[in-house]
Amino acid sequence: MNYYMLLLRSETINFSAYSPEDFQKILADFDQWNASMIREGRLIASGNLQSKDTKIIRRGNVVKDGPYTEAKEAVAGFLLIKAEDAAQAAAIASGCPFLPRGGSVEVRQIPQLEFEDAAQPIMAEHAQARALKAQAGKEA
Amino acid sequence: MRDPDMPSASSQLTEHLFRKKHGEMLGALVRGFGQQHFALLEEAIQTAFQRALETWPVSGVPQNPAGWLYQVARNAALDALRKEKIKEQKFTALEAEGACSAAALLPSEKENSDHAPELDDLATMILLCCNPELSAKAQVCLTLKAACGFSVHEIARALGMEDEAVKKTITRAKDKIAEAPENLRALDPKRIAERFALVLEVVYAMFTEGYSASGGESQLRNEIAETSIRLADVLLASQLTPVSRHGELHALMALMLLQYARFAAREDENGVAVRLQEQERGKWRAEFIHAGLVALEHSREVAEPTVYHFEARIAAEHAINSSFAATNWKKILALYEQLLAVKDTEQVRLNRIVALRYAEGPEAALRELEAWLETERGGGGKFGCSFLFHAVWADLLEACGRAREARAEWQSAMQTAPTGAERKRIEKKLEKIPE
Repeated sequence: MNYYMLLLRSETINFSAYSPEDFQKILADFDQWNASMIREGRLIASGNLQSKDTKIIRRGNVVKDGPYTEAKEAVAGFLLIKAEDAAQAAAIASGCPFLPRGGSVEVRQIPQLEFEDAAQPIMAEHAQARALKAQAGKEA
Repeated sequence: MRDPDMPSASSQLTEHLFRKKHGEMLGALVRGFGQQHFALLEEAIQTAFQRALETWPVSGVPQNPAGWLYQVARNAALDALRKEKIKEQKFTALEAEGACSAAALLPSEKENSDHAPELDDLATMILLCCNPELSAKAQVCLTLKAACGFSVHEIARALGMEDEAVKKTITRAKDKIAEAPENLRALDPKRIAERFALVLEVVYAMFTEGYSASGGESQLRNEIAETSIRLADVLLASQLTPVSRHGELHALMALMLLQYARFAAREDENGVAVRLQEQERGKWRAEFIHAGLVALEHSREVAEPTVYHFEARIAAEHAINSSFAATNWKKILALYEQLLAVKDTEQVRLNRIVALRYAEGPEAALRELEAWLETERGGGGKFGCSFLFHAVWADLLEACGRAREARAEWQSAMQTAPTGAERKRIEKKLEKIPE
């Protein structure tokens, strides 16, 4: 199992022409997309990247306002998912509701996810606790 | 890892949340910032919706989605106003007063509070759209767009207009409103009471668009009719509505509910219009009839019955009878005569003639129609050219056995039929009449 970061871009969508009902429809589409990822146990984390108050810190503690990417490259949100390979990750990404409306999704593999190693002991502890609970249930 | 049992984003939202919030939010912003910034405030709401879309699917829906949307829209409006460099004295004063503070305008989330301020926001928006300087069509378009959150395309589809025409109408209406801004925050009760007569007309015109539809798609027409009922409900609950108008508003509500109850029965599965006498009364929705009758009961608290009172009473007469044959036509005829005294239009007269046909027979009705035609002929104008006129006349001629003349009238009716459903009904009819 590999890890992928999906970066969602929506700046290229012409939202100004959308009706309230159109907005609601996109949310409903996101719901379905999210639900299928959650159902398959693929979604690890998701969130937004603020574009406001972005700072870029350079050598010598030089803090500058950023980012300097073009508006159309701005990332609105990200999703961290599990997938077999790049093809599968791309297939999942292709379900993003922004795509048919003119947005885009960038799929990047994360070769090794550090926090998972760190989380190993905790997960083992949880597994043990679950096993104990299941056994207690049987005995009772 | 997210909890798979966590309710999904949109299931936490009420149906049509965005559409419903659009009018309220715009009303609140207009109250705070002034209607000269109408277009800018609409854009601010658009920005809020866009932010919601970029945020909620990946970060989750906030606890109070409406409050979130309002906060973002308000900030976007402030930003835009600053950019436009119109942060003059007036604007600063407004801000200092706290008129734009979210706390003052934010829809209250308390379920059991006696009064919900968002109702006043929406009522403000309706008042604003029903500007007497605008044409009737512009009032309806603007109310649908700004107060009810329908898109230009949806309005065009529902009203059988071109997108471009709707767009132009709305843009011009907005310009007009922004040109001569009224201070709605300080609108005195007397002016509000005056404006209300117009507000009721616009709500009824919207409903009628949904009800009879000059072309347009049925699904949307239904939504517009439902929205009109909702607006009337909001107006009844808003403190802005003068108590003196409540009786009239209840009557309008009754009229809309009673007519809405029959919506499903008016077209068959092939989209052919079904006339009252052939409608399956089992398809009439009892809960709406009941609500309509209750509203009619409330409407009695009024000094003088209005147009809506008579029209609602007529609708009620039809709604309470289990069959067409059981209809009390004498009573309906009497109600039409009372209605005619306060609203003398071609349509009311024609409806009265239809009531006369069933109360006293087709010959009596045909005599009146032809006598009326005689006195009006030569008066010029569009008299006698409407679809309803041709259809009523054709029907009476047919009932009196004057088949050849009836045929010609049905053909004229066909050419003026406003909807495909009506055309189909007449086509069926023409097949049965001998040449």
